[in-house]
Amino acid sequence: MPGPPTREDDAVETAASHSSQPPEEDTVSAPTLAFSANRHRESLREQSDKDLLFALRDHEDEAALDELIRRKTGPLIHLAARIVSDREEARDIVQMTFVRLWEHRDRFDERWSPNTWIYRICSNLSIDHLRSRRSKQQKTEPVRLHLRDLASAGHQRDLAELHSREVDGIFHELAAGLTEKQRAVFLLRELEELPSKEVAEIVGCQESTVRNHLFNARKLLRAALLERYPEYARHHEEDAR
Amino acid sequence: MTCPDWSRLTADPGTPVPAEAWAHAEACTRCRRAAVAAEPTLIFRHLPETTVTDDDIESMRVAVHAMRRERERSGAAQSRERVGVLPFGGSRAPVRWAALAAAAILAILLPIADLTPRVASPVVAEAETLPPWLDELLADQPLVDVGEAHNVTQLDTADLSLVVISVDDLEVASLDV
Repeated sequence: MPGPPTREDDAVETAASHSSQPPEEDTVSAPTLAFSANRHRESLREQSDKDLLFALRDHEDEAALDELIRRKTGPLIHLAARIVSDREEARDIVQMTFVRLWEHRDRFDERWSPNTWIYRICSNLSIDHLRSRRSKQQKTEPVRLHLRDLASAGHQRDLAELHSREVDGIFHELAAGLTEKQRAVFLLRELEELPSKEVAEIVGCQESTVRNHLFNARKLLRAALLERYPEYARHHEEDAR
Repeated sequence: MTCPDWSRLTADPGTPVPAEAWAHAEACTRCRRAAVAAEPTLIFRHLPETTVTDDDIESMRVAVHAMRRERERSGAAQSRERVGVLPFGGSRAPVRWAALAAAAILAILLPIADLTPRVASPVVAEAETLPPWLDELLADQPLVDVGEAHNVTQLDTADLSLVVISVDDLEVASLDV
């Protein structure tokens, strides 16, 4: 794996460029320290996530961190926003995730999958954030009121037909009843579709515990859904009979 | 794929529905209804995707590096407070700091000492061809920023944070301590 550019490389480049210039222009040529970082950044785009983490760990390569930010900002904001139910807070969590990634770069072990390593930092920060925020959380029911309004206007739909924004609102409301780990496991396993083994590594528990968390999360969400939105879950009740 | 048996697929709440079965349900209205009827929590598969623009990524990059440097600076300051040493009194790399101090003093004194008119000042000469000891010292340090005509290098230790800015167009090489 090629390391980040060194000043020796620059010296060679500068010497080569000097040799093609007239002597009088030498006095105003680029300084010895100048070198092109663009080429290095472009080469990083072709490297795997693992190689980027190695570049962070072994060379303290800031351009590798930039490349990881480019690749992972979207998926991490997606995950954190679902865990903490707030995009702005998710953005702060992801920012801290990258800072931690840099500060703990020497701890990266090649036995870890890069995604597991990065998701673990992000989900732990999200869970911590959720815990610290729990006491301040207010219970609101905007989605239920919105759906009741639709129902009274004759626009009632069943669960399978709800729009994603409505589903989002329902999830945020009902997920408040889950523990932080249940919520993280449900999102990682059910929605991100990560394997149980990877979810266990991210959340820091046994695979059997992941299964228990998933079981309980689904049970609680289903019960809350049937209790709070019975008119939308009528097919389920009919089916159960 | 034919319509699967959703009652069977959702019978065990500890086992997720296979992705291909859900992909089929996305395209099959009858199946989607059967799936959600069998397991209402499957509606959460319809949570909206988060869109992230290039501007979001760039602002994230800037924010991450700013926070990282701030934490490194405050960490270095706390370490200095704990040990109780002066910035240039660190015991880890006395030779390095002595060399940097000499370079800073040189940068200040040379223009004062030489008052005769000249085309290029000695400092310019320093900037264009760095002394080997300084070049070697900087080679080990992380680059904070690199441009077509400038370099910013940061030298961090537990005792001191020093930023060296080399600008192609300037006639004076400055060492900001």
